[in-house]
Amino acid sequence: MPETILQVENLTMHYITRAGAVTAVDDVSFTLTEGESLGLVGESGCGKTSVANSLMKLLPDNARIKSGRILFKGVDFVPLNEAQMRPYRWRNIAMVFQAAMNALNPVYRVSDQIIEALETHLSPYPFDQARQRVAELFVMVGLDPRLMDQYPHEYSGGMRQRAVIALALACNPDIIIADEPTTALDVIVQDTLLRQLQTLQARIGMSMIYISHDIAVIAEMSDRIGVMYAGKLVELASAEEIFHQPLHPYTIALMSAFPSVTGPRRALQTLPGEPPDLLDPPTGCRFHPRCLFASDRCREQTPRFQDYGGGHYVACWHPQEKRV
Amino acid sequence: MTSTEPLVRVESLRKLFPLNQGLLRPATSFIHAVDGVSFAIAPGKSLALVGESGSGKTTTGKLLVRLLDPTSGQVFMRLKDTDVDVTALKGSGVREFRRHVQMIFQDPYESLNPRRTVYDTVAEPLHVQGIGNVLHRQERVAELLALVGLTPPSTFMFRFPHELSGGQRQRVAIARTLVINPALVIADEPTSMLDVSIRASVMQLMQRLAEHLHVTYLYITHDLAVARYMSDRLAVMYLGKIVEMGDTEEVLHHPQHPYTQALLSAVPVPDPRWKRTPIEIKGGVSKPVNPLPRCRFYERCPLAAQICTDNDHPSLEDKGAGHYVACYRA
Repeated sequence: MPETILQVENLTMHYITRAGAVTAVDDVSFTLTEGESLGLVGESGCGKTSVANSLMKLLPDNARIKSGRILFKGVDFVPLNEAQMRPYRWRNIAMVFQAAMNALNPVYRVSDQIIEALETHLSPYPFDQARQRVAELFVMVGLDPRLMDQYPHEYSGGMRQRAVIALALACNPDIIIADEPTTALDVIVQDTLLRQLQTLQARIGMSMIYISHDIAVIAEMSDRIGVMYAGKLVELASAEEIFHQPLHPYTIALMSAFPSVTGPRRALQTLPGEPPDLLDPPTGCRFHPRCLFASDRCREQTPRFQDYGGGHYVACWHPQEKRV
Repeated sequence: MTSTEPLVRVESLRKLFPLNQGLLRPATSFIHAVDGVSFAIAPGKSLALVGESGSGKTTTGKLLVRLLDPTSGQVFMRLKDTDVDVTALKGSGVREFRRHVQMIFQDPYESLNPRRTVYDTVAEPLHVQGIGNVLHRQERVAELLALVGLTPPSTFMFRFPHELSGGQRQRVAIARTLVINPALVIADEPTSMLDVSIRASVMQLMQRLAEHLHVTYLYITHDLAVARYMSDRLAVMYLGKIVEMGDTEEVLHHPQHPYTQALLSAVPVPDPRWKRTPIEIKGGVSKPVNPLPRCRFYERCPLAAQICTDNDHPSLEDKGAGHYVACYRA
């Protein structure tokens, strides 16, 4: 039985804005076991990136974790201050950022940026060992080590994203959080990168949280999948169950709105309306204004996130059992 | 309208962009963005142009609406039962032509003027073309807004883009495109910026409008899954060339060009049970700067042989039932 490495309990996080508090993450709970790959999927503004940033405690000044716990091997990250948090970042939890263009500093050589991470988080780190480690990391992510002393602008988009992955892997983290790492890339480059990431994850035995809006990419990358909507985790189950026995009406709608190049060409289902404004979220279940099965209860009471058997969690008053 | 005559016919279209041009120094290297592209679209049918970034699909779209002038080649459009050479049009001829051809852009946050109301934006083509009076225009705009699902129109007419969501903005852009009843609409990645749940409804809207208003689409996208839903025929572009073209389902189920095969095998499938068999191809897309006279895909092709580098880029050949492939080895 693999051990739980990360346990998130009732995490609630909001941003203080001039217009009021925006609850971007609302009562989210999940666990991550060793070596597991968990996918978080949802549309823009659903809070998936805010969850990732909360786990690393890399939050802007106007963000507050209101309640909940983030337990990494039993240590709660929530009450830790910057200095107390620093030892965990990069050594235990590292992040592969979304925009490869901005994740690297354009005026430093790629090798120096990785060496800086090594020296900061694993000090003291002898310089020639560090260079050797960079070369090793380059080979791991499929880059030519001879290119390590080049600048980011000399790399193509795919190479830059590989360098960002190398940077995240530098300190051998237990958990890697990948936030839309392939969104800006062409399909063929995306495909080779995804397969490399999978191979690396299996080889190193690290856990991964993979965040994307792309259901197809999530399907390929995850053992378990969490579906987010308007700051809430609405369903969490194995990839197989999310795709073939989804219970939440939003998950079902999302699945049938997604075009595929394989299989029969079935009509795409559309979802009425738009995601809610988080400054003034709907009462009860946040999905009720767009839900086909909404009842009075959905309008009044927030459904609890509970296990429907075998670790298939769903927050819905009327879970649907549809086989896709 | 006779259905046998294509609405648009593109012949050997080329667009080269000079790279190192100086004030008095002529350019010596060129990006061959579009390099000898030919296709035709029958009225009421839609063609998807698919390719990775840098394949020349957007440039082709811009050449068709005359936002760019081609280096060589021609575009013919069937208007009032005669073929008009679009590339030879000048001044008022271009304006007249734009009554029949419109373009939808990718980013609804950039393609709408933030200082103009929905009414101003949608009515603009009517104004430019001098169609109708104010009353007629208001009626027409209201009709279009209802058609694209922005109902009731009166609540949307005088809003500004910042008051609309991404999906609603793209609907406004679609309404503007269709307000003058164009025969051909060039849609350049109109749904790539939208969220999944919104994207499906915009795709459905475009399909419904095509049937309803007899619009012919040239649908430009990098997403093969989206192309599958939006087109009757599919053309795959690689470095300025069409490498494969045919009936959409036929191309997707029986791809013959090694590039199409690699592209299809790389598309992630939204089903964890599906096991893909990836095809290894080397490297990424390069830039078509002064390309050598050989197959454009030679460097990355798993089937590359002597014949592919001894000869110029292969021409499209009909492999049966209108399935065209440009490959010596397929």
